Amino acid sequence: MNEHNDTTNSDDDISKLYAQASTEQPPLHIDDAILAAAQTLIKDKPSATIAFSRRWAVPVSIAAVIIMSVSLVTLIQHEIPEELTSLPESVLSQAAPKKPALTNSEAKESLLARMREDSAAIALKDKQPIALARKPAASKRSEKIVSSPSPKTLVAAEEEIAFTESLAPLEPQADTPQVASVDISATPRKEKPKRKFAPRQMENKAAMAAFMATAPTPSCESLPISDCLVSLQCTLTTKDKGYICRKARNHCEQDFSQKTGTAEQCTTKPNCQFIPGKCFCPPDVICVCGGGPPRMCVPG
Amino acid sequence: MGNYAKGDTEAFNALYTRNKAALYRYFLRQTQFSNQAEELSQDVWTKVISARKNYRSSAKFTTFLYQIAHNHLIDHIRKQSVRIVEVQDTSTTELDPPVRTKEQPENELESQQGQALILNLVKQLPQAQREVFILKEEAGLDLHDIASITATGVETVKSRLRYALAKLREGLVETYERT
Repeated sequence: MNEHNDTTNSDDDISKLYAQASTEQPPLHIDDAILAAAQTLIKDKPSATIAFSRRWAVPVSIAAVIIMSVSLVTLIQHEIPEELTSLPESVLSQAAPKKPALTNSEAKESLLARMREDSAAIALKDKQPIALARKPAASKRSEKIVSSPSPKTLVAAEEEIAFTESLAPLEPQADTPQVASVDISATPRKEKPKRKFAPRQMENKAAMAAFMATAPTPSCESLPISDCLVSLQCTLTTKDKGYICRKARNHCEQDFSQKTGTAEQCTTKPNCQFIPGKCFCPPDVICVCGGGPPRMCVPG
Repeated sequence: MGNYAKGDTEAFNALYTRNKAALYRYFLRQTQFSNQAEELSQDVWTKVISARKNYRSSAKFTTFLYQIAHNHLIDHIRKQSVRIVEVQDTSTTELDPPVRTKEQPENELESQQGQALILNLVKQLPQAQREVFILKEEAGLDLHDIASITATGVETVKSRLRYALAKLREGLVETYERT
């Protein structure tokens, strides 16, 4: 107990001794600098406008992004059909089918004629009550159409006519290049033919098909190897330890794909001989050997 | 501090006047260099001024101040790659006996000698023990606050303080016995 008290007294003595010894003070210039900084920072309080802008910066940014996104999406949805109609007049005129499109008056006349035929048919059916009794709903619908063709019905009929007309140039034709038909089939809009502006879209597609048909095809020399192999108009041959793509020179090379063409496809052509590829390595394949000629269909 | 945050600069002046010397000496004992102590204490006060709005009145101001000081000291040590030298060789700690002038009475001389001795002994303490001792003596913090500032347990702080005091006692006794 005494030892503990001695220790405590000793600790107090140490504290006293340290307190007497520890008298260093920071220099006055430090005091002045710190006090001045404290006063300056208090005076330079951030203004209310800065606080306001900081408070609203994030919500305003989020709102701006949302508005921009929505307006952009809306704009894109409206812009796509406009882009297709912005093709040159010459292209649009070429895209028009050989059969001239019906004018509004003609379309109406045609529709009315069809309706008259329908009403005549219904009139005949009216004389057969048993048959009508079996299908009351159908008869009601027909009667409606016959009794009063509304303006909406006429507009729908117009669209239907335009849609039917626009389908004509899209049908596969022998003269139409394959590339053009492939591009149209790849158009994603084809999936939605029942939309409100579907007939207009189909017109645009027809215009696009005509545009693709008349557009200048790239020369064989400019094609890369992979495209040249697929092309039916071009032939890939070896030259100076390399490959060149040139235009097909004869009927054997014409319409023969060096990538997928078979010996049978070649030999079915008159006076044509199939030469299999020898140590040919396509550009996108890793091969053991390469540099040799690709498969060819040559006269012989 | 709360008053200062509201714009009362006089409140800060009072706080500064009350704590400036202790904080300066905290850094002086830890770094052993007055220029570094000045720089560090100025940095800490600047941080205190900047952090006036984050101050929570639930904590004591001294705890808040020395928490910043402790963290800043650690950063300083890391940045400067300063390794605080733990002097183990007691032979270097021997003080030259102060020269007695004609005007100085004998007890004053002894007192001066004792003060120089205690500062020298504090300098030789291990860094962790020295920090605990200084926080207790200079800042007047209790063991819980010191534990909170140094991010250690209360028992660890108690143990460090006990060791520090024991070493100081031994050093004083040894020196007096020799003289």
